Amino acid sequence: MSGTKKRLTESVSALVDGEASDLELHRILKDVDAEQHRECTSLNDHGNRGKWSRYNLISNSIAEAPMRFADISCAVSKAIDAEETYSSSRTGTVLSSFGFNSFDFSAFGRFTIAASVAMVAILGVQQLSTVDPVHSKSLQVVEMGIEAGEQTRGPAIQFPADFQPMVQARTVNAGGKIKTSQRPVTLVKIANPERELVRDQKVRAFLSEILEIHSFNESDNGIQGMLPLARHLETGEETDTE
Amino acid sequence: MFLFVLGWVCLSMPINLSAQQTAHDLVARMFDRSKQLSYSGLFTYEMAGEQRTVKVSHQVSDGAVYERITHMDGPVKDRLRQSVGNHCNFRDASSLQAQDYYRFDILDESRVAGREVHRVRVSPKDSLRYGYLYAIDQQTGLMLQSMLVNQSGQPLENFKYMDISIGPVADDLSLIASPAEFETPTSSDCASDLQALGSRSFEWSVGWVPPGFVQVSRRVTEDGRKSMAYTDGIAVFSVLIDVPSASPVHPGLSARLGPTQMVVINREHDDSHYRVAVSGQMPQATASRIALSIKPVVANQREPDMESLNQ
Repeated sequence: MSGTKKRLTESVSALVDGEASDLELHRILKDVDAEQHRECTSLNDHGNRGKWSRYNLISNSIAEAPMRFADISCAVSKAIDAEETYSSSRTGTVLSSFGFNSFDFSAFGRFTIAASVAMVAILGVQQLSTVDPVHSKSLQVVEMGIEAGEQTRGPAIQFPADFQPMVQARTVNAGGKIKTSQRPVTLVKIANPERELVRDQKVRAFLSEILEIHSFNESDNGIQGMLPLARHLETGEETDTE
Repeated sequence: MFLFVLGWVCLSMPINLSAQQTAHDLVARMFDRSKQLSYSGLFTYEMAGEQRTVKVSHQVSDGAVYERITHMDGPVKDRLRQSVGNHCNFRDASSLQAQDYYRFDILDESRVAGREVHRVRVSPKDSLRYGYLYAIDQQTGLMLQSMLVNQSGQPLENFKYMDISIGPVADDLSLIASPAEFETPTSSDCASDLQALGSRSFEWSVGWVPPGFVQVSRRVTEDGRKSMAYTDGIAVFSVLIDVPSASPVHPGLSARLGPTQMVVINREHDDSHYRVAVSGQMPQATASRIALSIKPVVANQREPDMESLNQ
């Protein structure tokens, strides 16, 4: 056995154990790819594909896992090769017949989709901007159950009640390098607190009084003229039409 | 190249500083003009996706301010308000150094309600307060439009005159209704107010306010509620201490009406429970932090705090 083959065999063994380095993995995949082009009829016991299969069978037997094995990689490769390739050539031909210049319509399609997504995003943002975040004229409870003791327990700067951090992370395997997931996974999702209209009459009455007193304070001490009154128009009494 | 940039910075700096000073002067003048001028007009107020149109008369005569507010759409509402100056104010809000906490910029000149205006942007320098866009009448200095924007730049309200007549009001408001028909801020005299705020051998201490805010008034309502007002020269927030009760009336809460944030917490002292409320146009985090810093402090153990340091 040459030195290269011996190193590859050791790399396959390491890969089965989840301890192969990126360089070893790259070398194995290159070798397996070359093997697959040479023969795709049966497992070559001497090749690295065969070793990979055997090592896995051994691992499964030790782990008492089901040992039934069938290599379908060749069949999958053949099926992919036999699959008809669809292209935009027909569309291009039809458009060309109407006098349009021939160009890469697949790129055009991608551009169109990207532009559509961008337009939807812009319209969505505009719509959100026009919808006031308060979205109701009625009083809204943002957070219930604020207790005085929070001052000593809470941080120096409090986050708003509707602050919702999205913590994302990649899972990693501390032992091996192969089992690293590249897809971000949401680990923590803090539920949005319930927002509800103020229905309790005592609460509502107190909040109304707060607004009334604040309105007078604003009028006396603020710089904004009639604006404080405008903010609290709802506190006015309804009168009969004469 | 470096000398060119340096020269440009040196030349542009005095212009920018001058412009900033002018923008601040315009805004500071709004305080006086809103209390000195009589006017009547029609304004719209947009908030929470709704718009209201209101007819208003603001009359200043013999040191008193009379106001009439009539809703032009929806249910018929008519309010009369009277204010005889806030004798419980002990600090002139117009003297505050708002430039330390806001940036003032004149954007351009425009027209609002048929009048020439300066459009001024007031941007907070921290995340503890909101920003404003003002349209200020060039002739009189009266604010004709105000837009409040949050930290994300989203407008939370838009107040704008559609029509305004600045000068004596046609119908003398002081004559069209009896004094009893006017709403007035209810308070006792200031001396007893101050005494009442420190009654029962303890005082209410506001441990934290955003930098630049100072207390400008305090009063006690007829039913015994204590109220304090703070301003940084632009924004105003109120602190309200409710009358004591044997048990908490309801849990603490945070609520808002349009741009106005309200935070209510419960405090206990001497077996009595107090509702403590903070209200103002500010982010919820700011209002919560202020509310949670309010504590009853026994008079002889009272430590110097923001409030006393600012006085």
